[in-house]
Amino acid sequence: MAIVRFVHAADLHLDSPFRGLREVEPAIGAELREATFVAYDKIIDLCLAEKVDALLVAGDIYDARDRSLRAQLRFRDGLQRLADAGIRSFVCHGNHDPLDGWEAQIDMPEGCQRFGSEVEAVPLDPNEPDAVVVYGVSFPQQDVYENLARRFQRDARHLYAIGLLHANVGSDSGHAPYAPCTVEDLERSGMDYWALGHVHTRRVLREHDPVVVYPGNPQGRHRRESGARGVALVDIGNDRQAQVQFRDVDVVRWETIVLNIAELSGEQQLLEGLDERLDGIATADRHAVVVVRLVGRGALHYPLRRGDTAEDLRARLNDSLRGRDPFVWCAAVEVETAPPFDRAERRQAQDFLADILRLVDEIQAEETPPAWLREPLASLYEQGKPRRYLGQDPVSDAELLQLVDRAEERCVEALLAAEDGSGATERSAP
Amino acid sequence: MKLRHLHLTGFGHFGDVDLPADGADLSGRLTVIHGPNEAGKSTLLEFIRTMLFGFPVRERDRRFPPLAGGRHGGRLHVLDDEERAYVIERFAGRGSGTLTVSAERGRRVDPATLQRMLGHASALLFKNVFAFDLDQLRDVTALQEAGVTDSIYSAGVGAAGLTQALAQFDASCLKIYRPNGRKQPVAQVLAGLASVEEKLAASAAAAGQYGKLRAERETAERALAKADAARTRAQHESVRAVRLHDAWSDWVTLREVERELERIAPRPEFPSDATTRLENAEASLAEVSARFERERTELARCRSAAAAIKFDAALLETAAEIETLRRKRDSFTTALDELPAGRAERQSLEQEVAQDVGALGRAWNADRVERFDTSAPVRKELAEVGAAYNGALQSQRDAEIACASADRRLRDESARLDAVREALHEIPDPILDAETLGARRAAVNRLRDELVSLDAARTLRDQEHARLGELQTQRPEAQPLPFWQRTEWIGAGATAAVGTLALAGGVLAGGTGLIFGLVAAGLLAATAIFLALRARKAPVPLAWKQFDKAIRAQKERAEAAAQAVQAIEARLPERAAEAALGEAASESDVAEAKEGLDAAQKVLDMRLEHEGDLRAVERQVRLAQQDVERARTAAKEADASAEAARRAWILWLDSRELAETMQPDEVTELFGRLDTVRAKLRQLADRRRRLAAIEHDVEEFCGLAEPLLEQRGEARYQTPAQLGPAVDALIAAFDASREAKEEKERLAAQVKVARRRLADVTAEQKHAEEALQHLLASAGVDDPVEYRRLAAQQARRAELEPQARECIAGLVRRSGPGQAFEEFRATLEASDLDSLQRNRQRTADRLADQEERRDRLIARLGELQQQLTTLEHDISAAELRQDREALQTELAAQAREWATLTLAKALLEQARRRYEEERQPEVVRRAEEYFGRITGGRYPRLNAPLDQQQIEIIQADGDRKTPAELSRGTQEQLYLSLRFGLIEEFASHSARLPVIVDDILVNFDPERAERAAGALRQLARSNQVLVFTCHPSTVDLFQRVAPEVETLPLPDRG
Repeated sequence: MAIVRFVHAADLHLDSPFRGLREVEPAIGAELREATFVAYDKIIDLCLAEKVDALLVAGDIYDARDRSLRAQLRFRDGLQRLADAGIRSFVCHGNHDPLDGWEAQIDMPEGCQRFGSEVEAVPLDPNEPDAVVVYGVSFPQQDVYENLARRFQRDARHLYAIGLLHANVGSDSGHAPYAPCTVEDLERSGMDYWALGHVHTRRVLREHDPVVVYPGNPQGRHRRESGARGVALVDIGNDRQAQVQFRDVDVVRWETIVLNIAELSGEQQLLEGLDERLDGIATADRHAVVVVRLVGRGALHYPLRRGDTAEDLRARLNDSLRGRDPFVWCAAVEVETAPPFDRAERRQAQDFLADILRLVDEIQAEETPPAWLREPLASLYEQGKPRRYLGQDPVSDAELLQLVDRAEERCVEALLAAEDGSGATERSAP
Repeated sequence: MKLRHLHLTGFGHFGDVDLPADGADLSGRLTVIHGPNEAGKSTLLEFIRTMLFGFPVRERDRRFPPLAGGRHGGRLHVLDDEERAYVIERFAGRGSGTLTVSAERGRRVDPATLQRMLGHASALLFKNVFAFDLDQLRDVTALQEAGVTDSIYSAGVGAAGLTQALAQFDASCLKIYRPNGRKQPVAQVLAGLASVEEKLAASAAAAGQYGKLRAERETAERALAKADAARTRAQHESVRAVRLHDAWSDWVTLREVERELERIAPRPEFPSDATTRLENAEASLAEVSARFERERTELARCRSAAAAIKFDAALLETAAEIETLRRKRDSFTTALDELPAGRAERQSLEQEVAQDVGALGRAWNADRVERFDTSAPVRKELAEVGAAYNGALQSQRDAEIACASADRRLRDESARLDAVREALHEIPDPILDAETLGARRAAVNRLRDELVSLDAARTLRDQEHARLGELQTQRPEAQPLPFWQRTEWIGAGATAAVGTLALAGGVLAGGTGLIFGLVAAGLLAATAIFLALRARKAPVPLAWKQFDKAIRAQKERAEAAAQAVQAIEARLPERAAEAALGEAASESDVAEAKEGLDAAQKVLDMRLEHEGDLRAVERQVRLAQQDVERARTAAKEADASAEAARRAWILWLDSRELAETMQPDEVTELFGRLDTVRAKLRQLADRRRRLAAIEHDVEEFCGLAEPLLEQRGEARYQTPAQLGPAVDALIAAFDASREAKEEKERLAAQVKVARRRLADVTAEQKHAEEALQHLLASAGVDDPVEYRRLAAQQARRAELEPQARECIAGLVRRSGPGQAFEEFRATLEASDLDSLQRNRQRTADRLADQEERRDRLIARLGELQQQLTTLEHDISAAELRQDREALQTELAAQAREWATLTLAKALLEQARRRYEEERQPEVVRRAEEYFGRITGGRYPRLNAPLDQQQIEIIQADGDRKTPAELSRGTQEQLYLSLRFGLIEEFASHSARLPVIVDDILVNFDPERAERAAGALRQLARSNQVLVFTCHPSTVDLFQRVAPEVETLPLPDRG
């Protein structure tokens, strides 16, 4: 017997685009644009099928700066379906959809509780004000660096308290440091269950006293959001223990195929290897967007680097995948291979190439990359327009070091080609 | 390597010249060799190069022929780097000349030792780097010729592609992105992004209107509700006006009908179809009367026809028998036709079967034929046993044939063996065995070769002796002067004598006299030794010396030829003994022995061949005997098998009760014949059964027909053939009686029906008369004419009443029932057509106004709804956002590629900077040190840029210069420094070769010349340095800078 059963969702990001796709077939593009909506519809279906008491949404329902009317209407429609079935909904807003963000004047259905900029405690069942109570607060504006968790204080009369909050717990470096707090802050609030949002990967930070859960986002939108995505279906038993089950609702799944060319004898074997891996993905019951990463040292490096080979390979893979249902789309073929030579041994030589290798090793060993590396990049990255799209801090130290590795490969190729007398190899277009 | 002493046997104008002249060593590491112009510095330089690396291969390149006589070439006395002494002697000859390398005590060593001592340096390297003059120092190409540019210009450090790579990276970067560029991918992507952003801004602005549009829609919806109400009201008024107007004609008609109806009194007893009813009653009565007449006539006709029909009732009672006869009539005829042929066929078959059974033999009858089993299993059994029997008989026959064949072959092979043995007896025995014969032939051949060699050696010995005689007779008579006749010896002797006297005088004088005497005696003794040495070295006349030398050589050759003859002669007895010949065996003896050996070889070969044939035939005989034995054994086995098969066959025949003499083929044929007879027996039985059935049918038909015919009174028939037509007549009579009876029964039934119908028509006629009377009575008249007049009046009223109702219905349809109708009618009564038309127009106009207003509101509402729907379902913004992401992804990829290339360029440049600062080639580093020293620190650094064939000179202030920008002297100092660097670098890993420079300081200012001399002094610590100069000042300079320097005047010309 359960006190309450609810679905905990977060970071719906309705109507936000998929990233990292340079081009896509029109039909697949339409599916991708609908993906966040379909995943949301599946959340509503799950609530109805599981006959939950409430749906909790912990912020970032949509991206306010996109001003997507469609996102807000579809969100309202879903909640209306729940209201029609007598299921309540509790919503707080995060950094992407703060209270001062753009919002169309849409009436939310009855039974939907939207939290404001102050922490409120709202009983899940109005007829039982001291039973299960949802505490929640929304971001008044995007940049909230205050520890909002500290504002939550449980009323001792309440049987079971759920905290609904969009926050970065434990200063996750992969996400913006909004509403930063620690697990201890959450513990001190006295909540029984923390329904969190903001971190897009599902995780249970604490299993009891209190239970702290990030359900992750229901639909991955770029390669870093790979793997299964969904929501948490939570049962609170009479013993006040929470049973948390993650349920997948994603429509399109991001997958990465890593293939080492060192073990491949030729292009035919490469294609066969890719086909085999893609077939494995294609048997899944969801659409898939795939990024192929070719790594390792081998003789295949040279043909792969030549001209538009990577882009041709991607087109060829997509041709072979065309017509599948569920679809599989190759978003990118990343050639991160290296020429087949023994770097460690070559580094011992006393020639110019070895100087380059030793120089790169020195750069990699330094705490911060030297200024002379960053300076030549300014002519692009510090320019107004490119900077706007490439980000305020477009090249982090880690990325710069990755680029140095790639640059080393280019130097090695050019110098080896000159040694062979074959001339420098034409570079592949990005 | 270090040069100790030079001896020029003949080279240029030097002939038999030593350096140093007194036979001493060039003991110092730094030596200045000086002499005036044309003293032979260049000749000496070339002599040293030639001794070490050989003469030019082509004759025309040999620039220093022995002008002063002597053999073209000379000797070098050298020490290698381990201080071991060697003498290198080289004279002109084929190729690079005749080279001899000798170690201590004249021991010759491998000429390759010289290469090792030279550190495998090439002649060009030595010429351009180690032994050069001023012209070569200035020659920029000299170092390239020497193949040392790689050592100087960083070649081989793997930077060959540096410049190309930098250019390529730069070009690739610019292809992707160029500041202020428009065509590059980055610029195009940014332009695309700007466009998308613009559209997205427009889309966002439109979305911002959503709330306003919704409010406007609500206002419009309220206004529309009001307009709807007003329109409804106007619509009602307009409809009523239209209806009143439209009802006017109905209203006028209604008024007229109502007035006419008032004039006709209603008679409810008259139905609406009164006239029709009267006419119908009158017509019905007439029709019934006509039918009564027709029925009465028909009844009379039927009665008379029935009375006329007659038939045979007795015959009809035999209907079952008649029908049986009819059914079997055709088969009876057929049976009568078939009977004779069937009986004949049966008789023929019976005879045939009897013959076939008789043909099988007395042991056979029809019964045995039927019983005898020839089924498939028995046939299979017959085939197996018969085949085994036949097969065994065939094998027996084959074995007999094989036996006969083997016997025949054995006889043939035995005859061949006898013939071969006889032939072998006729061949004589060989003299020698094969091994001895072979050894003897080899020994004879060797003896023959020795005899030929002896002949040739004797000829050569005689020729050499003759040549020696010639030389001895041609030798000139000139003789050298006795030593006492030569002035040098006289001078030396006189000086020695004076010295002796001086010494004796000193001894006698004592004191200072003794000292003076000793000094004088020393000086005179030295002079005497000098003169004696000179006399000893004075040349002997050339022709005389050459002849002596030639005679000595010819003597050696003659002696060698004589020794060769003796050696062969000493070997001959042994060779003759090996060939089994006498010691004095001649070439003819050898030829004769060879012939004898050839004949013996022929006999031996023939005997060996026949012995081989004999062995082969013997083997064939043995094989034939084995074949005979095998064949006989096989024949016996075949006989046994045949007997067993025969017994099995007879047993099988007995089991079938067949004769033991029968063969399998005969039994097979018997089986076939039995099958044929059995088939005929079955055919005969079948034929008999069919004939009996036909005869039975004929008898049965006759038995049925005859009693009936007798019953009809017809006579008995003799044959069945006569019975057929009588039966046919009987059946025809039966059919006629049956038809007559049936017709009579049908007419009787028709009479009954006609009688009943006549009764019915009579009743109908009465009923029709009563109906007509009743109709007239119901209208209160007894006359059909009056009835018709009243009926017409009521018919008119019936027409008017529906008209009135129709008009009222039309009005009600427009007004509605009840009170509304009354009001509507009252309004019509109070109106006229004109007023109604005006009212209709007025209300229609008002309605149109309301409609128009409402339409406007609906249109606006539709617009608003469409805008809202568009906004709600607009996916263009989503598409634009997706486009923006795609463009940003593209931009990031392009930027990443650009950054990679830019960083690659930066890496190359940084590595190059570091290389140039820290890892200049060793040669440049050493040269840099010398050049800085010579130029007094003005040019402290040299730089060999990567991937370039040039040297940069870096001044103290950091400015860089190319060699071409230096003064002539400084250029020479630079190239000198580079050579010093090369020399040291060569010494560090290979050999320390002597350095020989020929007046290279002439263009240096005094300071730099002095520093250059100091540099040479420094170089001399590792390598021997010889400085050739014609300038006494240079000698002085070196003596000043390097006190340990040795100076040596150039030797006199020969």
